[in-house]
Order: sequence, then C-alpha cells, then structure tokens
Amino acid sequence: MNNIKTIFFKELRRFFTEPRMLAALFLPGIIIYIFYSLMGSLMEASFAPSSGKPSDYTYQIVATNNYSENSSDAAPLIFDVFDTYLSSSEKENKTEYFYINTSEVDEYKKALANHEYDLLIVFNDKFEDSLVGSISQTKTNISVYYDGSDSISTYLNSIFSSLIDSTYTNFTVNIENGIYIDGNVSPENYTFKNIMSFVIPLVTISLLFSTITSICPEAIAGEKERGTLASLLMTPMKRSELVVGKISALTIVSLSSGLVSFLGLVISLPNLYGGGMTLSNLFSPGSFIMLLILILTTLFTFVTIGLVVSAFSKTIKEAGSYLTPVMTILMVSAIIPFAIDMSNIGFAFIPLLNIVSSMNLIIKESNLDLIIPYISITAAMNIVLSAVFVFVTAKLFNSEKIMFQR
Amino acid sequence: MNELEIKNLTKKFKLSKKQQKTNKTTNPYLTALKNFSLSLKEGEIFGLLGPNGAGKTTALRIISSLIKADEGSVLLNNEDIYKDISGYRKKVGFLTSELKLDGFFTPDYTFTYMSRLYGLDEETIKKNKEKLFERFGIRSFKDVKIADLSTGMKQKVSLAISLCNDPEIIIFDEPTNGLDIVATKDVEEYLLSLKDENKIILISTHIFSIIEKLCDKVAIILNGEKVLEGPLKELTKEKSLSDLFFELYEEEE
Repeated sequence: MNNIKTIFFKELRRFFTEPRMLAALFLPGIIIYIFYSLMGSLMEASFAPSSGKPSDYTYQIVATNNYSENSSDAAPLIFDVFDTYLSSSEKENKTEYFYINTSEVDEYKKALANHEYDLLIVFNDKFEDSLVGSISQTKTNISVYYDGSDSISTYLNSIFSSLIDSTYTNFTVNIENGIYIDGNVSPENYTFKNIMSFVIPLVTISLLFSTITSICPEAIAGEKERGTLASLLMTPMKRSELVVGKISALTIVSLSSGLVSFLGLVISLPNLYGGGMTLSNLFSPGSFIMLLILILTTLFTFVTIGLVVSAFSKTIKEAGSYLTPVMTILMVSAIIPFAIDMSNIGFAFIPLLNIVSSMNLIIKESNLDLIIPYISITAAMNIVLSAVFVFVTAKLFNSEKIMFQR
Repeated sequence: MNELEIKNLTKKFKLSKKQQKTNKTTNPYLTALKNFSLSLKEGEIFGLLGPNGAGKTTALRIISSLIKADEGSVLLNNEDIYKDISGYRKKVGFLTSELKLDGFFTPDYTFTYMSRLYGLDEETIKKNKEKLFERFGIRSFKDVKIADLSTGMKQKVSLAISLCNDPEIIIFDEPTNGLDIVATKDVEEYLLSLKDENKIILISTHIFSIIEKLCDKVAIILNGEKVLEGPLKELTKEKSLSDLFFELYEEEE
C-alpha cells in the first residue's frame, strides 16, 4: 500500500507541477469553452435578422388553431415562452400571431415563401390537450415551416425549435422542420439541436482523448525511454503495485482534466445555443448528471487504453503514434450517428461507439426515462472495458520482452 | 557470512526477422548466456571481463533479478532468490553509470522517492541521504532540477540513488563508463571502501585497468560462456590480464 502511495504522489507531483503537463490537462476545457462560445456567436450572427429590417420589427407568426379543443381560450404555452424569451433578449421586437385552419396550411406556405409571414407552425390535432391532460409520456408532433432564404425566418426557427424542447420536457414532441424556399417545401429534420448532437460529441471526445495522448505516453513509455523503469522494477515493490499506483494517479489527473472539460462544456452551452438561453432551458439536472457520468467513465476507459499503449511502446513518440489510430477510430465512430439512428439500446453495448451515441442521445433527447438505461449500460461497458485494459497492462509489466528487450 | 552462488544460468532471446537479418543468422534465438556459474563472497570484488555483447549485462540483470534466466538459479546463502524476491531486492544495489534519472525532479526528491520504494523509514532515508550526498558532493545542488545539472553531477546523483538502500550486494555494470577522471577516482575509492564494509561486489567491464586496480577475483566471458575464472593474482602470475584475455579471445574466434 505504501508503494502504491509513493508512486501515486510522485505521478501527481509530476503532472500538477510541470507547466507543460498542466497546459495539456486543462487547456481542452478552456478550448471547449472558447470554441463553443465562438461557434454560438457566429451561428447567432448568421441567423440574426438582417440589417435591412427595422429595429422595432414585428415578427409575423402563423399557427394552426387546432392545438386545443378550446383554442380560443388561450394561446399555446409555447407562444408565451416564446414571447418571454424575445422580450428578454430583444426588447424592441414584437410578435404577432395569426391563427388559421388546418385546411389553409398550403395557402400560407406560399405566403411564407412570398415573405408575407416569418414562421408557420402546424400543430397536431389537440396538441396542447394531449400534453397537459396526460400523465404518461405522450408522443405528438409540431411542424415548423420557415423560409431558409430569409434570415429572420431562419433565426426564428432556430429559437423556436430549441424552446419547444425545453418547454415540453416531460413529453415526447417530434419537431419536424420544413424549409420552404421558392415554393418548394422540403421537410427535413434539420434543427439546431440535431446539428449540435453531432458536433458536440465529435469535438468533446477529440479534446478528451487529446488529454490522454498528452499524459499516458509519459507514464510508462517515458520511464522506459529515460531508463527509469528498470530502476523501479529493481526495487522490492510488486509490479502490480506499480501498475495500480500509476493507474490511480492517471485516473485522478484525467478526471481533474475531465471535470474542467465538463465545466467548459456546460458553461459554454448557453452561448452555443444562443444569447438568451440558460442551462435550465437546455438540459434537466438529470441530463447533466448523465453527461458527467458518461464523461468520467469515458475518461477512465481512455486512460486505460492509453496505459496499454504506453506499456507496449518503447518511447513516448512510439506511444503517440500508436494512439493516433485509436483517435481515428473514435473520430469515425463520432461520425456514424450522422448516418444511422443509434437510439436503439442495443448500440449501448458496442464499446467506444456507445460513448458517441450516448452523448448524442443526451443532447437530443430530453426524456430521462430513455436516457438513463442507455447511459447506465454505456457506463457499465466503459468500466468493464477499463478492467480488461488494466489486466492487460499488468500482464505487459510481467513481460520481459515488452519491458526491456524490444 | 553472505555468499552468492550463480548456478548454470542460460538465457536465450527471441530475435525478430529484422534482428536475424542484422545478425546474419536464420536462428530465431540468440543465446546470450550459456551454463554460466560464479561464486561470490562478501569482502571481495569480483570482476566480469568481456567485450561488448559477450553477455555481461545479461548476467548482471539476471543476478540482480531484473530478468529471469531460462535455466539455472541464483542462490543467496544456499536459498533461491525467488523464494523471497522482495527480501533479496532490498539487499541488492544495481548500479550503472548510464543516466537513468527523471530530469523533472531534484536529487533530493528522487533519493527520497526511491528509498521509500525500498521500504525504508524516513529516519534511515535521511541518514543515508546525508552520508551519500556528502560522499559524492551532491549537497550543494540537491535542490536543483536534475535536468539542469551537468553530466558529471547527474552521474554522481545516479550513483548515490543506486546506493540509497545501503545494499549488501552491489552489482555494478561498467562502473566508470562515461565518467570523468575525477568521478572515476571517486567511484574506485568508494568501491574499495565498500569492500572493507564486507559487501558482495560484482562489477562488469571491458577495461583491464579497472579489474587490475580493484578486483580480487576475475572471470572472462566470451559469447555468453565463462572461459576463465580465478583469483586475479594467481591468473596474472605469468601473463598479464590483457595477454590472457586476447589468447582466449583469438581461440574463441
């Protein structure tokens, strides 16, 4: 136990006092924050109303009047939320709602294309009643039509789509967006949140893994390269103690880095989604806990992968070059959800791929009942995988060929 | 009285295709050591003489328990060292003049860190550190990062740390390789002082003058086999050590 402690503190001392290592550990979190905030500002700027519109512009929104049995009593909840959001972020602008019958939708699509209106919202029959009146999970639908060639229309669509997700959190609402340009309606599942569900895992995982490529090669391959590993193996300490000491320290080191990355991600999300958004608009506390569990178990898996590679390699450079293909596999797996719907729980059993699909799910899905089983399986798979890699590292330490002769 | 018996050590290394090509052989195994035996007693310095690649380092690594032999055994006071390998390692100091220190840390921290891994208590660590730092003149730069030290300073630190556990058995691979003349003299004097402390000392070298200056007994190793062993004085009664060595070397070739 004393030897584990000695190795553990020596490793921590190295990582937490060397400026190069500190930068490698904490820069990803800072980069995540800066990158996502910048991305959010750029996207907001591109979606923002064009300068040709007057500053006190009134947004013209058309909605079908079938959202409730007594639709004349009150506007749908989402419009109140929408008005509150706009009044806080754009004090000069106003909204005006026009209610139409479902039979008039085609006519108003054309009006939308002629820039007479900014947004057309088509509710499923008794949309609000089905949400408010039901205790169990309800599946219903909203179709949002906007004019992709008009910046105001595109801007309103991005805000509206995000607000629907946060307003009806306990229910499943399918948002179907339609881009209506030059008279051709092409419905697509093209929401801001969908794009983010691909971009965030891709960037976050690559930054997390970059931490591993900075710390793990140093831990064992670095000792081999300097010749200090032989001195350690000459001591009375058991080789398993050396492995446990190193893994414990690297886990703490990478977890600290992971927490900073997590904070960077969480703090930057409102910036990414647009100025007026708050964290509670975007995710429930449960979703954040799931995201944290996912990031921490993922880091543990990455550390153990990094240690196997480090133990196998002769030099830091060699370890770095072996880790590059692993990074490529992760990047490829981050792209797969673009092509395949991975929300089926079976995908949670596929190592590495499940990390991406879980992150994708947390961002896209607000229903915790769907998220929790998926993330639990992924976290369990991460732990099992890590245990296997720890075992392999210990085996490699007992191999003379790997430790001394290669 | 401590006695270290090395019995019939054989060690083979598997060669990769590339290594076979470099060594111009089709044999996938290289025999680094063949039936190698020695007997070491305390209060004696035993010299292992051989050219580069003869198997000296392999023998020393097996004796120090860093690697295992395919056949044969190492016995300390008639007991196989692997019966209590942890206890054996506490008694062994494997020294090499090759640098093997982490430049990020200071000599002071590295000494303490390595001593703790030998299971020493803080008081003993402090005592050993004072003694060795004084002996090798390390005190003045003990808090400087190793990376910022000169080569000579690093070598001194490396030697001090190799001896941090005050070992009873000292195995020294090429003791003066790369050392400057002042450090070489220091090391030679220190080895002689350790002999007076009744340590078991085994050194490997390819330099005749070191054997002649320091050793009581000598063994010559060629191509992994011991070809000669005996007390230095007896062996060199009629011929010099270098004449003896080159005669054997030419026979072997």
